[in-house]
Amino acid sequence: MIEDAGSLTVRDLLEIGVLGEAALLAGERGVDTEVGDVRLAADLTAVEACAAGDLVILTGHQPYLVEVALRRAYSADVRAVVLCKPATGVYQTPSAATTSFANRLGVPLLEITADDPLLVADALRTAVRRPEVSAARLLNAVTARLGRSRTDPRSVTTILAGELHVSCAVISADGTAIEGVAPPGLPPEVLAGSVAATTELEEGFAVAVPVETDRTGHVHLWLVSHGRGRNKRWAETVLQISQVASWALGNWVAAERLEAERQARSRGSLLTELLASGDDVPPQLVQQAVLAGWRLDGWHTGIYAMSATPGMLDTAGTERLRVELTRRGLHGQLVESADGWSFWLTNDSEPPQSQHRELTTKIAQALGCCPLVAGIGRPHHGVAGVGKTLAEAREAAGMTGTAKVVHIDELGVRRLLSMAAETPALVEQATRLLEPLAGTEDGQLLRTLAIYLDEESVTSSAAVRLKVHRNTVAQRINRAEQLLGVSLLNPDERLAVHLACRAVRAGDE
Amino acid sequence: MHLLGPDEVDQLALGVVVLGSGGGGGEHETHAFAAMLRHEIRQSGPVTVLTPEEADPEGHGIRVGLIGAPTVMIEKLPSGREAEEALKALQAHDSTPVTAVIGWEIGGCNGLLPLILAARLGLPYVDVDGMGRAFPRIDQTTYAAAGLPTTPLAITEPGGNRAVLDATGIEKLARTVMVDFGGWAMMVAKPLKLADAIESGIAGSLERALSLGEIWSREELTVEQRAQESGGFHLARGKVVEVWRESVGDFPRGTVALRRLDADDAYVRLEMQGEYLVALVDGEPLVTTPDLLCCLDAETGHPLTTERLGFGAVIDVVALPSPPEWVPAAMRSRVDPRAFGYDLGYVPFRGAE
Repeated sequence: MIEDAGSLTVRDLLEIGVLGEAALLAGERGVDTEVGDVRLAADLTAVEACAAGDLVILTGHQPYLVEVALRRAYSADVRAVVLCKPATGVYQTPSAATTSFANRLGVPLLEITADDPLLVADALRTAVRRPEVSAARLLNAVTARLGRSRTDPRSVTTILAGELHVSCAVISADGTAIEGVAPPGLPPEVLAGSVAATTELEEGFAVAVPVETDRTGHVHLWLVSHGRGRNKRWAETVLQISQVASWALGNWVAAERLEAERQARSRGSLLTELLASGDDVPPQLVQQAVLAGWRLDGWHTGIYAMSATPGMLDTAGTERLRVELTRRGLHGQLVESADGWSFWLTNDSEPPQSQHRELTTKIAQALGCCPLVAGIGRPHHGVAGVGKTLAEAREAAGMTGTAKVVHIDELGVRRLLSMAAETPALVEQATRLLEPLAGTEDGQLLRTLAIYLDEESVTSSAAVRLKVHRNTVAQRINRAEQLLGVSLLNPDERLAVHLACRAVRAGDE
Repeated sequence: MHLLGPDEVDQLALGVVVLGSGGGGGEHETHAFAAMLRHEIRQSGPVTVLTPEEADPEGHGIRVGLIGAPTVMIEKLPSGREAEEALKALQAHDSTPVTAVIGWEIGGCNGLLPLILAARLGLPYVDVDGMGRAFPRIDQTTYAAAGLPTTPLAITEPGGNRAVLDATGIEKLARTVMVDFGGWAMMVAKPLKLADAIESGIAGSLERALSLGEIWSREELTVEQRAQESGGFHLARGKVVEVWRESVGDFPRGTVALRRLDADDAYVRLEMQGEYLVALVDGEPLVTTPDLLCCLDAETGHPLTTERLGFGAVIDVVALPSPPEWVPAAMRSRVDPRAFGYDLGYVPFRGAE
């Protein structure tokens, strides 16, 4: 149990760090007695004057002096004898004879490294007699240092740990230590609460103070201090000072967030301007884009992600999305906007057509279980390409239907065509329609027919693509018309034949 | 009147070492002077030892003493004539006719030097001295406490150097000269009128030394019995588990912890400078200077001086009462623990427990 009594014991004094670098040389049996007052003894007469409950700081160190002081301490019920070891100069650490004697008496014998015993006495006496002053001094020291320092988690925990002699950690609600190490055995329910709490641990106690709370009262970030000892008043002091430190940390969180928000906003507006400028991008915009780390040359492939249910945009998701994308090898620019995220990848050369299916899969994985949908644009080149590909991606994202990720190529006419290709009845009909051409001249007539129709029935264009003379194209089309028994001058028949060509080709692919 | 014959010399030598309380030269150094004394007695006949009552109060007694480290003497041997040389040098400055030799410091080898001088000069020795034991400083005598002069003081060494000092700060000057003289030197101080010396000195100290020598040479007695016979008590038997020495200030100082073999888990601490000065048992000062503390080798029963006490030695610690002249508060301040820099008062001798 954490004691209700406010008085400090010798153990508390050792553990809360007022003694600085103190070593308990002997007399551990007596460390749990409460200290009532502190006295500085320059000679044995002063030791003689000590009363029950006192702690004596002895300025001498000669073995006989220490032993006589221990004996007098024992008979007067003095709680501990403290020796001051100067950083330099003559000093004799008590020998086995002296420590054995202290052990027999059960009088704690402590050794501290200090040049001025008076300062030690003052600090100890304040801690014992006026703990509130001691706490105020610590608070003072902590706030002064916080004021001079940055308030990021590392600096704050360093300051707290240095002044209070506790170990500090900044821990998220799920128990992940962002800074420092979580105290061993910290019960998880402490981090599930919403107010500052003190918990008793196997070794000492832990104080958890909320750093950041959202509107629902859920705490995202905790400042946890792990102190030694069991003294309730000391735990309260640690709690109060941690509270102040948590404000500094909260300040840091707010500042960081504001900065992140500001950056997101400025990037968002930069992108908007970039998109609005179309083909003619003004130089100052290019400069801003370069400063933002954007690459404008090369081939850009745009992706636009947005919430599946409109109006539910989780702004905190930006970072998560960035991590997810990076994890899948998609290193590009992510820009947050009002209703979604624009993301684009840049390549030196035009990405092959085959890439887009792979990209679609990766994006689908990156979005994972988030309620997000995404569209992917075609690769476009140069500064204007960013705008084009993102516009396509956005268009695709708006028409996902049941799919999670949709490529722009899958939409519109192409989609209609691929739908046709996917309709078995139509494919069957087309195959039957074009059957007379199948196998004729090694499929050359069918290929020529398809290209001729794709090239808007212009013989010369088809000839260029087929690398033959345009008379050859004309003759082949004549033959095909005869074999199929259709006239391509008739729009209905031309459309039917063109559709059949597409369906068959899609079916072949 | 007592005629000190050669057969009593060994007994006397043991007695003065016991009175040395660990200082003033141990057995080795004292034996050298004992041999010298025996030689002189054999040559010139026994030394006449007068009790204070038998002495002529109008006569003048001369004091002789060794200053410095007795251990150095083992390497730098005395010639045997240093005391006479010093007396000659002194007499060039102070022509008071000397009728007797008196003691200065009975403890340690300084207890034998006046007898050697008396034998050589053919003068009687008056059984009185200034310390009744051994002390490190020149002013730690009852003579000085009574205001008797110490200067002029002649100081010599075997190489023939001599100096006559007349100063108020004689302690520091004599020690400085002693260091330049090679670590030890012989001193002869201004003769004292016997009436003054007897009145202020410690009478019968030679007799006490002889009696202690007799008791401590009786091997059939246990150490407890010898202590009791000597008027003191056996404090403890223990093994030296800690020896710590430092040389700051004028004299070496140190502390020794003994793990008691006669009680469980208890320690005895001895604080020492030239002599053993304080014995503490469990943080309580039990025996303090000017009472005497003697450490004896538990196996051989031989007294051990402070500089010869080593880690691992098994020793008996015996306490003997101080000469009563030192006990009054006015006298004590010269020789109590505070005079040696310890923050402890004198603890009255409690006798056997």
